[in-house]
Amino acid sequence: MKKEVEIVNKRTGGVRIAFGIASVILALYCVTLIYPFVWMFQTSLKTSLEYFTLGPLDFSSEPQWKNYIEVFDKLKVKESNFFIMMWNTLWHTFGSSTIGIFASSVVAYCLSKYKFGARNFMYAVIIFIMVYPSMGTSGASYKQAHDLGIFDTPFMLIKSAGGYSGKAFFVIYSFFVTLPWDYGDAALIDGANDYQVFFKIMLPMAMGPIMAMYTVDVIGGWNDYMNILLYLPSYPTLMAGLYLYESDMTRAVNYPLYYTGVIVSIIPVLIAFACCQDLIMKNVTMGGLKG
Amino acid sequence: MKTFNQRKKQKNLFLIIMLAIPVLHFFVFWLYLNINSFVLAFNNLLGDWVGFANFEWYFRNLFSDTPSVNMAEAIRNTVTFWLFGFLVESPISIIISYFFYKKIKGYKAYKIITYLPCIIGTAVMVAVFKGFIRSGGPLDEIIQAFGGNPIPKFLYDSRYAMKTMLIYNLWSGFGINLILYSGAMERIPKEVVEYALLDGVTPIQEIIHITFPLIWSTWSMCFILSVGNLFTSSGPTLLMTGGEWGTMTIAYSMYQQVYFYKQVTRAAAIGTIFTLLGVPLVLFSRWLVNKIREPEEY
Repeated sequence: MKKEVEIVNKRTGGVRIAFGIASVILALYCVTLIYPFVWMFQTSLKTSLEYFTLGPLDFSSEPQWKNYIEVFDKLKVKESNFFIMMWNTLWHTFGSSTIGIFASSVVAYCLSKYKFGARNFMYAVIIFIMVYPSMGTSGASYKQAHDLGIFDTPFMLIKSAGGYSGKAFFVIYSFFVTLPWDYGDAALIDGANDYQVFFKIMLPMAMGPIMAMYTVDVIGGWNDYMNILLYLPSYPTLMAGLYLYESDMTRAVNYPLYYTGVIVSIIPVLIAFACCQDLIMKNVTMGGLKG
Repeated sequence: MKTFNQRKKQKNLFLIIMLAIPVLHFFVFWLYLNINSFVLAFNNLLGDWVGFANFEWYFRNLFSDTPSVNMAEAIRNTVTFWLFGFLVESPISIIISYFFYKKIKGYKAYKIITYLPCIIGTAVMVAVFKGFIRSGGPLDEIIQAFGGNPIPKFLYDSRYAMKTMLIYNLWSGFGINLILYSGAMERIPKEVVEYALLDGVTPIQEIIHITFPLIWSTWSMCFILSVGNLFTSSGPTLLMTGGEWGTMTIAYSMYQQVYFYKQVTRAAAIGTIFTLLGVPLVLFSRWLVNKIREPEEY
């Protein structure tokens, strides 16, 4: 085994030089990804006046750590301050991910573990939804949200129940298919009902893939801004709020404060990534396989 | 012991309770929505039937010299973004993935750092990108320190805006592809690569004749997805330029009609046109990738 690896990764002469150059180029590319954030952090410590008087690469004479406190109060979009945006982000992200992943789990479980008349038809419909290239129903969707009276209310979360079709469904479905039904049968004979089998036995066993999909969903939800701007204008989340703050033409943008807000808003996702990095990376490949 | 019939009843009730919401969701937010989107395209905002008026509006904007919304530009840019992804981003992704796969020095750190833009999200990536490249900003300062000329306002000038967006896409868009491709490469059987290396293939030959053909199923899946997303993913247009300075795209034009102008029927017409165009396009791209090469089984 050790020897195989050696042959596959052995490099000589020109190839070695090429790999050396490639490594340097990749390192430079990584610097271009990281340095702007360092610069943004440096700028976030300036006063709003220093932003104009000092050069963009100069350091503030006195780091304005208080920006990191003031941002919660002063970075406002309409009536929502940063605290409210953070709260909106939390309930929207976790609400939509929980509903979405729960919907995928329920449908995946029912289709993989129960035989019933509409089963194959439902599976076919789910595949069809995935494949059908619907090129934009945003107009109809906007009107529908108004018609149903859920526009600009937290009830918009109900739309997340559409999680039954998508990558998460297929990952969880393929897990349930391989999970033996014996435990379920044993529990049913012992007098448990179907709900207990699902919630107490099967669902806990599927927590691995479910949490992997959940983490990805949460990060995606955290970063969403277009749907929030469109359907929940009174509930700006951090990402939507930052866009609204910067694009508001009625007053000058306080850039150091804006950058402070940007940095604060990415800290949670960075922590989530640091904790679940392996889980996320593996899951991306896993999802890719199932397509 | 429950009788068979009782058990069956219990099971059916369970299924009904569990699946009621997803099924209802499907009927309301998918089936009705898609049908209604089609119907809306023939209505005006008051709900009156107007025939093909919304489509006429669209094609007037497509061929007119003074359009209110530049649809020809939107189509051109959409195709440009897609071709750039296909011809530039995708080959570079494969080459970088190859280096990861060959465990180039520092690949673990590179893998994590290049994936960060996917974690951090578009809104923040655009914020930092815009701040960095603005005229009088840090990039300007660095270039001038090396004796360069002051840089123009890249995003507020139709000569540069599209190119700047393409560079942004390249800069921030590798992440997920690198993980997908290098993951697929790691699944290539070691023996195949070993024999080839013993025969003395160069890395370039290896990529062309071994690596790429063996990750074909992953690559072709990404390719079909990119065709499927062609008209729907508007990317960072809203955050970057708001579609100004020659950067309009089809997906963004739809979003703009809804978000800024509340013209849901016009958006529905655009959606209908490109759904009708998208169905054959996706089917064709599927047929094409299978025609070129059957996925390897290994």
